[in-house]
Amino acid sequence: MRLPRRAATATAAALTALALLLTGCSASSGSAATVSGASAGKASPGKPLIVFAAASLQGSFDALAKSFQKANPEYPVAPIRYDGSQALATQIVGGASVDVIAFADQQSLGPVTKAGLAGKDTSFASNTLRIAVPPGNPKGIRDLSDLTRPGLKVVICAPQVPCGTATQTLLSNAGVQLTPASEETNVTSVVTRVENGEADAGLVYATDVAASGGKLDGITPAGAGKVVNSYPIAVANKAPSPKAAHAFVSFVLSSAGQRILARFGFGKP
Amino acid sequence: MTLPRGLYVAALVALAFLVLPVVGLVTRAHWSTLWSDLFAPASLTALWLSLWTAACATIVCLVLGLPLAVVIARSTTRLAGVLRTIVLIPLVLPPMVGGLALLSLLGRVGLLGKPIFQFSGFSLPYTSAAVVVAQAFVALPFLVITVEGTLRTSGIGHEQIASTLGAGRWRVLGTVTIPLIAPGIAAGTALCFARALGEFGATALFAGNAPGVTQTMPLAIYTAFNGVGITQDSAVALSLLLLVSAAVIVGGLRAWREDAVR
Amino acid sequence: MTEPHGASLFADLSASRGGFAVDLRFEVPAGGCLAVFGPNGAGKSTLLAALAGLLPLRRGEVRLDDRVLEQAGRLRERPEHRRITLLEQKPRLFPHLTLTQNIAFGPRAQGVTRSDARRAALDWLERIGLAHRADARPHELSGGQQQRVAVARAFAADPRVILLDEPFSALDAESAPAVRRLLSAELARTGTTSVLVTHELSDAFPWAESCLVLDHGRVVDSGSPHDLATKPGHPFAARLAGFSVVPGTWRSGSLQVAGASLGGVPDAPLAEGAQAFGIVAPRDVAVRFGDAGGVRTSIRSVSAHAGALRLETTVGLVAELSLAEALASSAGRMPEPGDPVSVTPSALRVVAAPTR
Repeated sequence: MRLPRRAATATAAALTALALLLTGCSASSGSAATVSGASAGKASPGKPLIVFAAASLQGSFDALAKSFQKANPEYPVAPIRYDGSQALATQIVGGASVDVIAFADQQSLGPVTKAGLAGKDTSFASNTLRIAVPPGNPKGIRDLSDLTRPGLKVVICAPQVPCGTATQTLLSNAGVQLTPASEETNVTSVVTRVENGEADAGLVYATDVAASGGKLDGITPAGAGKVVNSYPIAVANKAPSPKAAHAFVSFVLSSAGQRILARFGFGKP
Repeated sequence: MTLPRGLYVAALVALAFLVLPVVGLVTRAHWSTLWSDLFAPASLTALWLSLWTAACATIVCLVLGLPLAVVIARSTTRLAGVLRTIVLIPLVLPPMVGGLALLSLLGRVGLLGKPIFQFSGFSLPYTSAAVVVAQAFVALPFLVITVEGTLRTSGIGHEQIASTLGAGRWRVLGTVTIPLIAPGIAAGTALCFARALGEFGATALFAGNAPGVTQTMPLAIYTAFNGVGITQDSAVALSLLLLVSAAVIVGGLRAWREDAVR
Repeated sequence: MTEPHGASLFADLSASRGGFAVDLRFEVPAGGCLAVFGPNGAGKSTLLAALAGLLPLRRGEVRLDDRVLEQAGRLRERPEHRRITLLEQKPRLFPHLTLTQNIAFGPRAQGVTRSDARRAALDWLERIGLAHRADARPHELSGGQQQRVAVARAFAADPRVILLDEPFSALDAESAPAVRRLLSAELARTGTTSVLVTHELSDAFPWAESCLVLDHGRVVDSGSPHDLATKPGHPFAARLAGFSVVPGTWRSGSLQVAGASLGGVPDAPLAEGAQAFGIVAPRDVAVRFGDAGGVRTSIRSVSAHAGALRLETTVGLVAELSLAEALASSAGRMPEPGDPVSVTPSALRVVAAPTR
């Protein structure tokens, strides 16, 4: 079937345009890097550092990045990508470009290591769980068993995500059978629901309570110290800026970095 | 009439654009575990929840949307334009924003939700009813716009004759207006159901994510997807299950109605 | 099943829809028929819509016997309570209902039980010769058959007045007679009052006792069909009746057209220099080829029908003559467009040009 010449040319042009459009789109948004960082007139070498970090690291890692950039102006840091650790793992395995990986538990790093995309990881911080309630603890919750009170709306992380796995361990350790009103796929959603009054209580990280700026009160449940999430950090194997990546990881593990993490409520690794 | 050949090529590209991702999904399935994933109690629960909430949401859309569509179709051009813009709001809002909007109205501390909670102790979020509300919110425009379009093109000639023959306004509506647009209603219902079935953002935010109560198939897929290892395979299995169920129901609905009316 | 019982219809109204307006007054006795003529845009359909209650009145009132149906600004009966049905050019049968259900629609709407309505509908189908298609859908029928069903449906609703909006114009020459016969029979049998809008003056004769000619929403001529056919007073009415109409100026006791003086007899005294129209039967227009007194003009078109020629001239006069007469006066040559001719009308009536 021979197409009439005009139709064939038009179709070819349209398809080419479409292909260019698609590759253009993917190239620009494939990585989190927007060409920022290289500001203030100084001709900086290298691309901005791409960091993927778990949702619970948001405040602390922004502070770490700022400190790091002040000390190392030759290594700009792109806006850090925060999300649930599993979601980030999927993106990395799916081909997203990344330099530094910082997750909320060891298990989430598994698929990335298995795919040969992450180097050796080091634990850099730890986090334990707290029961978050609105300020003043209006429902008078004292421990995990109080969460099973009928009519109480309790929100937790879904068992598939790091804070959820920890929650399940915590609850089963205490022998508490909880039917939550909702299971969120990242801890920030739990925080939001308790903060705006849609939930009466939630199980979140100690760092979330600390970062809430007074919008949450935290109750330390019994056995909290036994359920510790160890946060791993690693340099990606295919990192576009390996030197900068290693420098950043060293900074996080240094006493300066650890001080910043402690300020946000993290425990020692 | 035969069309220019280039048009067929472009249409083929469009079809490929729609079909190939599904093909990709099918190839990702782990055939060894597919059967157990598909019929695991958790996935069947989520599927059943999705189906009955979407059905309820569709009924809500019919009850609310048909009168609205009739009113818009019989309004003056200017008023109709305004009303149509309002109806398009849920389409224009990103679903998560829709969920947020529903929360701010009907949440426990919401504009209407707060007095309702204080008066009756009942709040909508985290209930299956909330799922129906969220789905109805996003799916309503599909029904209204489809039916209204059909009504406008069918004109008022038959209704006028019917009233001169002695039929009152309700009778005209029930025996003339609605039957004449039955195909449009069927199309709108199918679209509405499909949209409700696939709704994620508004449901996740407004109704929450609790298995058996508010965890519809899309939420189950997303939760599984966020998990590690095996759960990602079950996400694929769930996606296929939802795809097949939706196709069967929507396809069945359209075929039946289109035969019946001619 | 139906008893003869049309109602008298009185209307003195003003109404408008879209760009069309109508302002008039008339009365139809019970069981009578009024024919309404007028060019496109004259407001005929607007009038019917207003009578049916599909359009609010801007001024005036509509009465059925002693019952006031509508009084502008004060009272308005809904269409379903007026017992006035409407039959249009297009049958507008309900496509989703069978023929029986279509005809039964009116009775059912008025509270008749399903079985009684069905029986009445079947009677109607017998009467219109379509009983064997009782369960067919409208789209399976021809245009003429559909219109017959539409007539039955309109009468089955037991109206006091039936409004007919050019019910034959969409029909071909084969189906129109059947519909006419049916309408005649049913109007006579039921004695329903009717208002008939039509383009054909001859349609008025079987049914109408009086006629109205509308132009731009107002009555410009009226009378019995016979009056309109023989002595129309308005150019449009005259054309309807098949007369030839020519515009001119009244001067010195004669109608001046294109420099020629045609004479003519005015219906009423005309002012000197007034714009006027000459009305004459085409058979009374003599045609001479070349220059021979009368109006000098040329042939615009020639049409033939069964050996008779109809010549339209550029000045407006239309002449009819037999082939033999044409050949005789043009020395054996067939007249053609562009041929110069002189036309002389006899028995020319002159009427004043209508004021806008």
